[in-house]
Amino acid sequence: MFKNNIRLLDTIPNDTIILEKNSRLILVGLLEQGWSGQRHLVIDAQAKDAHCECIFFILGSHDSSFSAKIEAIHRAPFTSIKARFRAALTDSASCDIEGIWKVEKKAIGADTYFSHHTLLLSDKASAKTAPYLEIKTDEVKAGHAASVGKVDEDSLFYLLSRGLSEYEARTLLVEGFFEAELSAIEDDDIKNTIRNSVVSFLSHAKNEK
Amino acid sequence: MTKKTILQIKNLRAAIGDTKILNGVSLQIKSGETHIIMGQNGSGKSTLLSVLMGHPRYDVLGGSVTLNKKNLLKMSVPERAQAGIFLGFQHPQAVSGVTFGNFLRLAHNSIATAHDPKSVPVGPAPFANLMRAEMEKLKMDSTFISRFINEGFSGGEKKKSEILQMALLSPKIAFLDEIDSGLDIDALKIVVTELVSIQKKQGMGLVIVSHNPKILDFIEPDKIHIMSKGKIVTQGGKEIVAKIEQGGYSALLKD
Amino acid sequence: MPVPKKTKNLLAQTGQTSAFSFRTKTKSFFAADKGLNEDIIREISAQKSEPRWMLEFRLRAYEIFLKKKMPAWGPDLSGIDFANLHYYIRPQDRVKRDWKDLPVEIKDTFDKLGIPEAERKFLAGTGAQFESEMVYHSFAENLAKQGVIFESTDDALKHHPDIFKKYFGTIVPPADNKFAALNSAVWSGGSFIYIPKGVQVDLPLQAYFRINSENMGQFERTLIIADEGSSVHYVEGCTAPTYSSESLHSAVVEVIVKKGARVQYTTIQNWSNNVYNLVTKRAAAYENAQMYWLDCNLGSKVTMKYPSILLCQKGAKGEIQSLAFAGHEQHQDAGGKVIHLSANTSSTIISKSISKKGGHSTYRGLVKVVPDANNVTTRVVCDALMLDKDSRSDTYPVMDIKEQDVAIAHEATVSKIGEEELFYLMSRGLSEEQAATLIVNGFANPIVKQLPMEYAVELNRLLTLEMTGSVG
Repeated sequence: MFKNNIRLLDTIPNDTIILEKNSRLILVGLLEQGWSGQRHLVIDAQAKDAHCECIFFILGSHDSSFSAKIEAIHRAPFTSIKARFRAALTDSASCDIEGIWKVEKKAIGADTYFSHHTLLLSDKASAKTAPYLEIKTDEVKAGHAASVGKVDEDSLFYLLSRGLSEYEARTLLVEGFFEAELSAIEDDDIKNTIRNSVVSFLSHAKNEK
Repeated sequence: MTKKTILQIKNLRAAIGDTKILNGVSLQIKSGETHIIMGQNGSGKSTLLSVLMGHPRYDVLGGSVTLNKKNLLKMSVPERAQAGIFLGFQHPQAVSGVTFGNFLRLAHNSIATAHDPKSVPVGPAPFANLMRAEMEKLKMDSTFISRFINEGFSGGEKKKSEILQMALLSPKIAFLDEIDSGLDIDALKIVVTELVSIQKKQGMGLVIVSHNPKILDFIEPDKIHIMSKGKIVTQGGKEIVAKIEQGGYSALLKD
Repeated sequence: MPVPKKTKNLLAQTGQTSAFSFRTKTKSFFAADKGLNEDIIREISAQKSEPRWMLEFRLRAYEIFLKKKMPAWGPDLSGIDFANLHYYIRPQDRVKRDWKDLPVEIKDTFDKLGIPEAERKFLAGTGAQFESEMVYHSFAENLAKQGVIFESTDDALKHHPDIFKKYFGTIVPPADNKFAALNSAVWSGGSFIYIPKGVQVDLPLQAYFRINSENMGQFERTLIIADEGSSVHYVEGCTAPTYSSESLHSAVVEVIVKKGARVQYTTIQNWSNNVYNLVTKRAAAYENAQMYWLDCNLGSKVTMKYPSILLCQKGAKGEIQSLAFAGHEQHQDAGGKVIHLSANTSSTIISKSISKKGGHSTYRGLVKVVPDANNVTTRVVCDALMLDKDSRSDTYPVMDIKEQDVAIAHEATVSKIGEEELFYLMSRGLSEEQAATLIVNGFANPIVKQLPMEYAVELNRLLTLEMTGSVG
């Protein structure tokens, strides 16, 4: 991961980002406020050796809605666009993420990845995920993963069996859920900002109960 | 010195869904005692441990379990840990994103507070020192403190991590499920030596579950129980194991 | 009179025997045979001596068909010329095709696959009944004794009107989509199966057994009802290339799996390259029922097929396994949909697709969990193998989850044959082609091994055949 070209976003913008030749861009998003409608972000790798890595953390509470369409287009050889979403939703928050990953015929050597993992922490939270792939060349590394669910029962039991209270155990697991992605970010300030946000998100979730 | 009864299990029955697995288990453990529960796969040994720890997948259909005269079955899972039960799992769960050291410190403090609300929580640095001292005895690398719980640990490392937790949480009674599987001879010797030392120091009751008679080469039990079809069918001393070694479990079950 | 070249080509496609028999038909007769209108639908119903309610059902469906729009997504369907298709061929008009008019590629494939002579004629539509009729008869007697009904849908409407009317059109109503509406208007042929309570049918029921060339049809309508505690496995299609003169196939399959019952529906489709194969298949699974779709798509010009399962009551389980092979100028647009309407349900979708020589394979899937459907587990795996630079692979999965007490996981990969794997096999003396073939068969294996053995063997042979000449 590259420390230099890193940008911390607090929302997903309606925008088109054009990646230049031999460029490296890192986008980190800490999304705590939802928005209305669907945002459309296009990341266009038009030139050779353009790389972009995005990590988005969604902390949804109340009735916040996070709806976005991320379009990643690989048009030149040896480009990579990867995006990872981690969302924890409580109250009646919802997230709806469409990821449209395209690899054109001349984009040989493309390395692409999209993942969206959501933890639903309350009855009324909901998630929709649609990770799409359109691949027109065989010289490609492409994959995606998605999951939706509540906190893992077996992990919860393990922590409870060591004497942690239900609240402590769930907190550890939700923090751990985000921590798994945080380790890839080199900037400590950004990491801590996100960790602090997760902690206040969780204490809000506790107080609401 | 008369030994106190710590754990009393009477006629415990349990099921998973519609399948009955425990059909009336009765057992009594005194402080400082070492018991071994043996039996074939499917006899209900691991289920017994899960039920004692309060795993939500199982339904208790009848019977009673008391720990130091308190009703264990009424307690939540963390309450049971705080009351002094420890379960060393056969296949310890990996919990990605949660650091081993951090989790163990929180568990330790949680249990300490339950015993004495005025106790002062141990901070990360002092606790890491405690961990390192114990890890030294188990020949476990201290880098494990900052790794995610059980993630990428080898079979042997997972078992050592369970023992490490047991050492630092000071339970009144520890149940170890198949502790010998995944450990080579040297590692097993180290683990058992540490186990016995902890037991002596804390007067801890110890129950080891195994299907392998070879466990006796390492542990000197006060009593051996044989489980079959969800019940304890025979109890006794080492002579029982000799019978199993000669004629397999069927030799015993015929009696 | 010499036949113009254009007409000759047209003849080859439609399988008519000779220019002369074609030309002796009167012009108006010919015109009435193509395109669709109310009169043709009335004629279909009259020919089959159907009860009034079915005629009304067909006419209502036709209205819906006219109003419905073509799907706004998916493969290019602009090649379908609705006005220029046959929707019903009167039995007396069924012209026997001549072996020599069959496309060369099909004859070649029969040779290479070692298909027996009689089977070839049948598959080409040039033969009469297949000998398997004999095999079928004793099996059929056994089934009849147990109260199992296995008939053509047309016959079932006559012989079992009550049970037919109770379930027909309940899982796939005509308004579902344009092609379901079309099928509802002009359906003909297909299988009707009813398994009584507690009856387990051990051997697979095969469409092959009661088929005749009429039912190798364009607008088949299949209805399967498995009553409580019963189980059945239905198999349709075959691996050998199946020539069809009709270019639009639009079937509808409805399956009802009652409490504690189990149904497996296996399809292997290898239609010729002129066919648009647009199918609506849906099952409803009730308490503790199990529904299993095993779908293999090898042929056709365009296939659009998304077997679906509605998990209506607790304990219901659904599984969809889909294998698609898209070759030159083919588009396989397949996948599966599972809708969890009740708590304590689980589902699995496994899709494997292979594209080569410019073939285009698409996975389209949906997993939906409604509020309060708790304790739901779903796993979706879709893997795509692309064998060359000209091929194309798309994946469009959607997960719509409105309940928190669930565990939903999805993963997908797209890749070409791994260099390391190829190298390893070649270092043991295999040619590149042999190595690639082994790897492709291995890729498809998790699904292929679920097929009844004869099909699995043939499918492996077919994949091997497809791989010949595909390397280098």
